Amino acid sequence: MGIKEKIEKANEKAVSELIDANPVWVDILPAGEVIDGLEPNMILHSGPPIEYKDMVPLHKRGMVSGALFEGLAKSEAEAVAKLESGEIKVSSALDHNTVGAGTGIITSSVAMMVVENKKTGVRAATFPAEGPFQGGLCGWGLYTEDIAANLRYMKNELFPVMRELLHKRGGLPIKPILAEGMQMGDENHTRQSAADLIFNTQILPDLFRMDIDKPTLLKVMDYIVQTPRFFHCYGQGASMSALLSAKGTPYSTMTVAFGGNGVEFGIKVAGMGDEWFTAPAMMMKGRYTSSKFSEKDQLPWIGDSCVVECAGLGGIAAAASPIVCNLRGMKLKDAIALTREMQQICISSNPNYPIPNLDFDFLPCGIDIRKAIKTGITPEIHGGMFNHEGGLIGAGSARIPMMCFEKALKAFAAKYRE
Amino acid sequence: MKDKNCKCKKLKVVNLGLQTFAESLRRQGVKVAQINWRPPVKLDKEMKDLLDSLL
Repeated sequence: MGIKEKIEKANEKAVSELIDANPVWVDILPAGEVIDGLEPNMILHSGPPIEYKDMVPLHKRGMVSGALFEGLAKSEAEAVAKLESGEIKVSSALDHNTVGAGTGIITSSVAMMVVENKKTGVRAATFPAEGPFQGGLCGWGLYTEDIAANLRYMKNELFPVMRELLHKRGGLPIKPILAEGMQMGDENHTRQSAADLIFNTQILPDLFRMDIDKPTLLKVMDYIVQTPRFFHCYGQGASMSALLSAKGTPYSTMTVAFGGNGVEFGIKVAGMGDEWFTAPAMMMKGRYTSSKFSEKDQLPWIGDSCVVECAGLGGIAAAASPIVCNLRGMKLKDAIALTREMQQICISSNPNYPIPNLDFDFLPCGIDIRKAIKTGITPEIHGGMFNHEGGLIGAGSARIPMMCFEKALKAFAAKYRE
Repeated sequence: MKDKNCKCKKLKVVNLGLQTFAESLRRQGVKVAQINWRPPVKLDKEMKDLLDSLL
């Protein structure tokens, strides 16, 4: 069998791991118990690996915040000294079975939502939104007494109830929620309004049937219902558990991870294990929350939530959500054209996701680095815009730099070409 | 502003590629069919050779 045929067969296998994945929310566990290789003195971050000294201020602040929250240091100065000396280790979230959305600050005691791909048994853990603090420590790298107290409150008071609920119902399948949500206007990166509501209709009746006191019940209900984009972590967990199942497929040219750290953006490829292929992090185009902001205020791409695009959601699913695209001035036809364009660089289509705006054609799935280079098209990824201080200043999209794909193809050829 | 002497309203245009040309004509009341097209990518020799052997 020639190399081209080996690649085609490998890509069929890899993309089937995305299409046939069966992600189920199965548990809530401390990061240290569910994330492989996460050590007690380690803090994870978004994007490709980077040393503390080279991080953008937003990530540096997140590292210090994580150290203080975890009790690895008693003061900011001590945290900085330990981070600089390596006594506190730093590691890329995407080099573990987790996702670093935003700043992606994850320490061993942070409670994580665990999504298991029931087809393969692969688990991925993602951090939930922090209620009224939204991004809080993990997503935005912030640390205050209130944020730390809220994280402990979530872990100690809310999550035991949710965990009991989850175990009683035997887990919650995620794919049906993603599928229905995308027929109701979500693309499941920037928008998960429909998925949030579907999630609520599945979880809240079980919550109300639990034998718990009413104040506790109301606290849990308020957390679920009042937290914006509550479902986002489940979409990421579903995507990551599927991508991890495809990772390591020999000869496959399908991408299995995307993420940025504000300095570099990187991708991984199924046939290339954990090797990163990076380029300078790109800027986003989109709409700012205030007219006082412009591109000079924007931090280059930071965050791993674009794993959802890697699995065929978000920007790849633009046609499912003209509502999101309209935030950037796009019309329905533009959103449809964008998904059609993404089809040109994908290996297959995902029959789980027939989209009304595509006349029920399926969403493209499985990005092939070869096709990206041949067509000159790179994936469009949706996301939030951060400023240099860590404030959320808008939402929009960006194209992954072609350099990532070119580096990946060169390395792939060096490894596999006969 | 529209030019009264312009015969553009009688035109029917097919625009290939850059959408801004189509939008510009539409704003002037011209019917335009847009065809999404882009010129083939020009690859350097190394990338072309790699793609020839792998795709």
